[in-house]
Amino acid sequence: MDRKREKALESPDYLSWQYSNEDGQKTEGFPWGPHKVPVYLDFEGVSISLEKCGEGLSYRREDSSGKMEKTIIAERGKLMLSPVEPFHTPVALSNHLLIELENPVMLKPRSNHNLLVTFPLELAVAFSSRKPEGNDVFDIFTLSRSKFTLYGSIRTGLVCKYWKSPVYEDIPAVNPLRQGVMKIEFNNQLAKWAEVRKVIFSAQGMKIYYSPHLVSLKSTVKIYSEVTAETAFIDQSLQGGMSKGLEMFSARFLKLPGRTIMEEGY
Amino acid sequence: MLDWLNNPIYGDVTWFNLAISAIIFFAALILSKVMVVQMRRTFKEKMSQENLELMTKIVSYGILVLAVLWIMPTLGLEPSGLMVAGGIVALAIGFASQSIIGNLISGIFLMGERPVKLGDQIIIGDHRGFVEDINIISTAIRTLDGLYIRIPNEMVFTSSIINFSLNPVRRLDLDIGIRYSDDADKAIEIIKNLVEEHPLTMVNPPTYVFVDDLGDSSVDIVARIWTPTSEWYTVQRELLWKIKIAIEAEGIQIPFPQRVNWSGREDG
Repeated sequence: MDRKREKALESPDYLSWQYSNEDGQKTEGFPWGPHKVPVYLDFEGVSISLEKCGEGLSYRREDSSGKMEKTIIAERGKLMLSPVEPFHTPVALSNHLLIELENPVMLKPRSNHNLLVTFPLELAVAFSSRKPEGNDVFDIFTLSRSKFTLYGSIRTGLVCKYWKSPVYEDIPAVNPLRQGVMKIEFNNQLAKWAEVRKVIFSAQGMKIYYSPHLVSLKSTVKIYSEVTAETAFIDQSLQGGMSKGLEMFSARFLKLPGRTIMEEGY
Repeated sequence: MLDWLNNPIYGDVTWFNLAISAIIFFAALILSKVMVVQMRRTFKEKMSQENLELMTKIVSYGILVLAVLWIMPTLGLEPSGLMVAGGIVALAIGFASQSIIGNLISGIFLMGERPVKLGDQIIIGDHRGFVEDINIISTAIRTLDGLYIRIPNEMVFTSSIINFSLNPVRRLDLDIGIRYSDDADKAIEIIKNLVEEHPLTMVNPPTYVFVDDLGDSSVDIVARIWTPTSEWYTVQRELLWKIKIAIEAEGIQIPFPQRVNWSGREDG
């Protein structure tokens, strides 16, 4: 990674979030993770607050679309902010994400190659307590653009969340509130060239990691035939020192996290 | 004191036999209810509601049939005897309950063919609504205005069915008429942008917006938009009005029907 890009990642002054707690402390990078109550956050036109109100806690979120308020009946706990799988807004009607590559990728016969793409994010607000129930997500919203697309035929196809991404060799400097960076390990098992235009990933087993400046995923794409490929996730962060995000979809019944077979081309 | 229990009712069947049979039958009834509740609780999140309902019905009816077969000898009825008499009985039942048998057989075929599922929005004959229950004899639907309609399965089987929910996506056609003096290309561009911005319109299959007809009073533009099936009404409700506001904001108007009347004399 060149020095200029590394510097951009370290100090992303293109982001306009402001963060303050009751002591007025400032923070660098986006403050994912747990926060003591009361907490007030302003970022990208969104205001979030969680403060004591009588016996309980009062949560507020305001953005251009309106205002939302919730009362949380709990004595103590923290507000947890985490990036989550992009499948809850505007309506939860798909468990698959289709990423269309802006430029198709040509893979050599019987080769492996790693590339990076971006993916959309949703932000989950959870109430974090020491109780065994753990984190209770009570609000999910997104700053990414939402679209849907169909993979396959109108009769039997799969409705997927849609995202179009450039292909990168190095980690791009993207806004970690709107986009994450996914490393894809391509494996062409064919004895000829393979052209990849799109990849589909399942919500199950999406292992999202976050740091103040980066949200990441790691995945594999195996090309089996001219129309068949298999995608899956790897439970690893892209950089050191990253924390694991909340998982809204579990992969309990799957041997391989997020395994998806693409049978209608890639 | 309970000697009367041994008094015969008919043949060798006593009141005791009858009581035992009743106890077995009610025990089976309770067992089937308990099994249904337990299965719903256990498999609720592990299988589709439709398959779960089918499985619970099979188990529930299965327990009752076994119980009946069990108590038949106690009541002096030999199942083997019934088998011999089955042909005659079947003939009699066939004549007596043609429609019930027809509905039953149609129900079995419907469960195999599965043209509709629970929750699907369908039209069967003149009835439009959501499928609430698929039974062995009848299918229940809830109309869009909240009425309950029970349709015999024979009618479901022999009617043409339109299922709005079967395919994952559905096309929405919006017709927008503009004045002949307006710029149709500009109107098309505005409509395309609005469709593109809407989060519930599909990227693929693509949207087509074009001049469909040169009408009597307007240039008719049609927008063919694909949406996820479940969101079809939402998109229709939100987009049409947004299109109207957006094109009017650009000075394009939706015309009223017009007719030019010529009157006077042709002097030739």
